[in-house]
Amino acid sequence: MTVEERVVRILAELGAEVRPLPDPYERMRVGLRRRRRKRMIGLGLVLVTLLSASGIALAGAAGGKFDETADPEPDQGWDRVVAWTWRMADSAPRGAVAANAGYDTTVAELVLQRQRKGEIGAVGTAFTGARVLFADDVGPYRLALVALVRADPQPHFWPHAATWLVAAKGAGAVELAAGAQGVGDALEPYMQWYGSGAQSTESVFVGIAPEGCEFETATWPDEREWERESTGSYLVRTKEDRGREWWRLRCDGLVREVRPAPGTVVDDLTEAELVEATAGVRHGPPADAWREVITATAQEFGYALAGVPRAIWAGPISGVGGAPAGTAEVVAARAASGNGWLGQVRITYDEPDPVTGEIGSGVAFSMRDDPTDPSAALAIPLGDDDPPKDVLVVGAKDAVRVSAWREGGEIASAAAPEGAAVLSLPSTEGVDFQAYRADGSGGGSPGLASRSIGTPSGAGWDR
Amino acid sequence: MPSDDEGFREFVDTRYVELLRIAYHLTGSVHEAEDLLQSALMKVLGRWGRIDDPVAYLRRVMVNHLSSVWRRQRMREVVTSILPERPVPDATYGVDERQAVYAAMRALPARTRAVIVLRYVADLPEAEVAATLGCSVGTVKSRASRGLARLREALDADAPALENGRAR
Repeated sequence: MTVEERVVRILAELGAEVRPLPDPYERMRVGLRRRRRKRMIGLGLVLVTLLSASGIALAGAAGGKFDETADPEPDQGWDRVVAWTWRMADSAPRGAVAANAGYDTTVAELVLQRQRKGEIGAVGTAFTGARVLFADDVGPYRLALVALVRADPQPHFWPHAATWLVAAKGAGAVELAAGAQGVGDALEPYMQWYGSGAQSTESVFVGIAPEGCEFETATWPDEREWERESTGSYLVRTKEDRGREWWRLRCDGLVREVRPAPGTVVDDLTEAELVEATAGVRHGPPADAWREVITATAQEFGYALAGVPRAIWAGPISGVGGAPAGTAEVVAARAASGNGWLGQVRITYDEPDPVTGEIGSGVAFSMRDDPTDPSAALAIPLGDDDPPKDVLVVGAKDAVRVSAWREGGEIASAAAPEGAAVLSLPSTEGVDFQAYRADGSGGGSPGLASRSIGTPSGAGWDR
Repeated sequence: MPSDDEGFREFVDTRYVELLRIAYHLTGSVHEAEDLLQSALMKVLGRWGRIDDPVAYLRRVMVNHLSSVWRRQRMREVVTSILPERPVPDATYGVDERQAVYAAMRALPARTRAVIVLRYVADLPEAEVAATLGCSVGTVKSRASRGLARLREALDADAPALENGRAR
């Protein structure tokens, strides 16, 4: 028996003893509901942080009940989200096809009938009615969004469910209702559908918000020129007009959603892109070893990046904050917003953390100056301290020592045989970072990078 | 192509055990495997009806989730020489062998372990493993080779005890 055969047999024996907990499907649905509730409550904070960090000003409220600027209490926030879902559910139908009230009524009734027969999910849930909120021909499809009103709404759960209907362009009411995708748990204040149907491989996008909201778009990567979408409270994109752009949604004077259009600057990293992305590496493994971190970074940041992330440095680093030592990989790309650069340090521990069991960690950062310039040092905060205490200082190519200076005096230094090292300081306030080559030449970092939380998108329906 | 939520339930009911075993080998814990698979299924539900091959998609989601998010969160992955959370049937020859492979699997780097799981548990061809992991076939070959070498070392180290026919 070969080693392969032996391993296959042993792995099969190990796996054969694994038994699932009861009712995995229902457990997943419960988990999903719990996660959605948490997500909606938490995203308001994220939005404010992101918008502030990216220089997008929250417009002054036009008055009314959504004008608070303080962080809401969790229950208050949830109540506001629910109020927006009611506005969404009560909005007039959007889309050219939806202008036909008789068609809408028929579609809604058919969807409700199918749900009651158990054909489209949410079995056992009673609904008192259904409404079409959107219906139109989009690319090769006829798409519709239908809201269903729960007969027995619960205090901490969504009062409406929703389903998207997908059929061929021009489909009649029966055909459209037959294309129900399954009833989802929630009609949220903002709903979107992105993908392709059975009729075609073409992907299309529809986003829809409560009546009165306004979609605005800006060209990608520079989002400074926002223009109102002619469709107002909904947005449609087909292959003819789908591209790299920013979207934002303004309701009652506040920006509620802001995000780059879905997609990534790296679908499948080509050899040429890989060569270019690794051309300026100061220290690290061969080009192929960078492929995974470059691709993962591009996918995590999406169109927040203006291009393919570039490899900067990789090498061993000491443990930070009690974490094990490991190998760090530093990559960055120009921010699509035009405001500097976004990047991340990914650390893979040599051994799993004996306390937490983690096998690695990561830090996203942003900085104004070009970190991919091989002639400049860069300083990236690690850990969770504020202000940062542990800083990864990556020197210019061939650097052998890094140091920290305050008020003209060196306060810390470390040998950097691989071109970089972590400096741990009581505080980084007022500190400059330097890196030196063996001959004593070198230069400073243009400044300490800022921590970043990645993709600038978020939702703010809880205020 | 699957088309509705009921289809999704049927999919979960029929494929859950198979996927859970892959998740188990990726994480080394039944509890973590349940968490990983449940999270992955939640992601898939939102795209249900637009995914041609849900099993392949789930494998990719699980591996990526493990690589990106879990590495920054709480992995609770500790190298151990004993099999946690599962009853060991007998203190016999096979137990030592399984313990050795289990411990060696836990000690593998995450991406190498993923290659071993996809190649030898899910029985995927190298090209499909490469597609799932977003790397080249060459990388899959080298990781599989390194991973198998580590497992072989673990089995070899266990051999004297096995030859003596005793359990430790």
